Amino acid sequence: MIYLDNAATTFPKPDAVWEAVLTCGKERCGNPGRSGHALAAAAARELFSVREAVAGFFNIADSSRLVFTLNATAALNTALYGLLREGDHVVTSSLEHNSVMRPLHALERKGVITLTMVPCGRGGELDPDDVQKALRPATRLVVLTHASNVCGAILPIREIKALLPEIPLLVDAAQSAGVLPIDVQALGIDLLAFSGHKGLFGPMGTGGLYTAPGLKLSSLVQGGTGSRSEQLEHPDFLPDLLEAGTPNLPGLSGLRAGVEFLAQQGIATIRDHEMRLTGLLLEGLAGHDKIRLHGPADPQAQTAVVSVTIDGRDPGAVARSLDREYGIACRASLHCAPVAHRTLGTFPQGTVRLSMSFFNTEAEIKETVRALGDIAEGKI
Amino acid sequence: MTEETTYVLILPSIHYVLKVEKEAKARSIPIELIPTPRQISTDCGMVVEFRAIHREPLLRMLIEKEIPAEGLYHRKKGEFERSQRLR
Repeated sequence: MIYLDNAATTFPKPDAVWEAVLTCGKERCGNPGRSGHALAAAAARELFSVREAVAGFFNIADSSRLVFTLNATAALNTALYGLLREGDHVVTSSLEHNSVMRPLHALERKGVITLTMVPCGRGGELDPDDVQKALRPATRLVVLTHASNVCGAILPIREIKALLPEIPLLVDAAQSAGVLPIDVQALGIDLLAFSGHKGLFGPMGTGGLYTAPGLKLSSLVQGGTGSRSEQLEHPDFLPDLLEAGTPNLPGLSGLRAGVEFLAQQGIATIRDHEMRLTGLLLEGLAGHDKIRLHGPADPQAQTAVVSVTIDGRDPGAVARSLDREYGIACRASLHCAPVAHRTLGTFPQGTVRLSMSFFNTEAEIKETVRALGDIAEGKI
Repeated sequence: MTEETTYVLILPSIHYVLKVEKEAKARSIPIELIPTPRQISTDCGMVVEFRAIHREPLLRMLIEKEIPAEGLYHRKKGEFERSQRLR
C-alpha cells in the first residue's frame, strides 16, 4: 500500500511510539495524581514528562499551560467555548476545518457571537491586511488554521499577529504540528490547538491546547482532577482546570515518543523531505491537460497536502480506482471543510487529496503520478 | 529523613509536586516525594518533604519559578504543625 492519507492520520508511526504505549501500559499505568502508591506515582511522572516534552517542542515556557485533550477538535472547542462570551466578535478565514467552523457557527446561531469570515484567494492565500480590516471594537479572538487540511496552504500567522498584537490569536495546528516549526513565543500564538495523531506521530486520542499567560479560559468540562476534592467547585488552576477525568496516559506516552522522534530527525529535515515529495508530485501532475491542481501548487507555500481533480471524473471514483487498482490510499470529497472548497472553487464535488508524510518515498510519489495519469487518460 | 528536622510542602496538584521535584533537582536541593501523611489534607496523593536546612532555598525557588504552594507543615515527632511562613 502507498499511504497518502497522512492529513487524516499519519501512518506508519515510528516503532518507538507503539513501544512507548506498550511500556506505559505494562509498567506505569496507574492513575496519575489520584493516589500516593508507587504505580500512581510512576503514572504521574510519566504524564509530567510528556507535558514537559511537548511543551518544550512548542517552546512553551510553563508546561502547566499545556493541557491534553482527546484531539484537536476537543482542544478547539475548549478554547472557543472557554473564551467567548455574549457580544464578542470573532474573525476567522475561509479555509477553516469544520472543527473551527461548526462551533463558531453554533455560537453565532445562538446569538452569542458575531462572526466575520475573511475570504482567502483561490490559491489559499490570506492577506494579513484583510484580517486587520475585519477587526471591530468587540473583536475578542482571531481564529486561523496554520495550514489548510484541503490544499496545504500555509497562512501567514506571524505577520497577522504582528498587525494585531492586542487581539488573542487561536491557531489550529492540526495540520502543521510536527510538519512546520512552531514556537508559540516567536509566532505570537496565544492559543494553540493541536492533534497528536497526525504530524506529531502520536496515537489517536491525543491532542492538546496551550493557553498563553494572561488568558483565562473557563472549563468546558468539570469533574475529577485528583486535586481540591473537598470542594464542589472545579479547580481554577492549570492544568487541572481544563483536564477533568483520567487522561489517555498510554496514548500520551506514545505522543512523547513521537515528539522525541521529530526532535531527533529535526523539523527542518522533515520539512525538506516533505517539500521534495510535494514538488515531485506537483511537477508530475502539472503537465497533464486533464488534471487540475488546487491550492498554492508551490512546495514552499504549502504542507505536503495536494488537492487534485481530473476533468470529467468524480473525485470519489478516482480515489476508489487509486485504492483498488493501485493500492494507493487517499481521501476524496470535501474533507470536513466545505467553505474551504468554496474558496478553492471545488464545491460541491470536492477533490482528491493526496497527503504525504516523512515516511513516504520518491518512488511512491512517481507511482502515484503514473496512476493518476492512467486514470486521467481513461486507461482505468 | 529524621522527623524532627523536616518540612512537608503541599502543592495544589500532582503537576506542581513534580515541578518542585524537577526544579529542586536542577538546584541540587535534596527533597523527597512521599505519600500524603494522613494528618494532612490533600488528595493528589503526594507531598514534598525536605530538611529544615533547605527551607530557605526551596521557598525562594517557589517564588522564582512561580509555583503555587498551598501549605507548609513542620513535622515534629510525628505531629504536623502548619507553618505560618510560606512566602
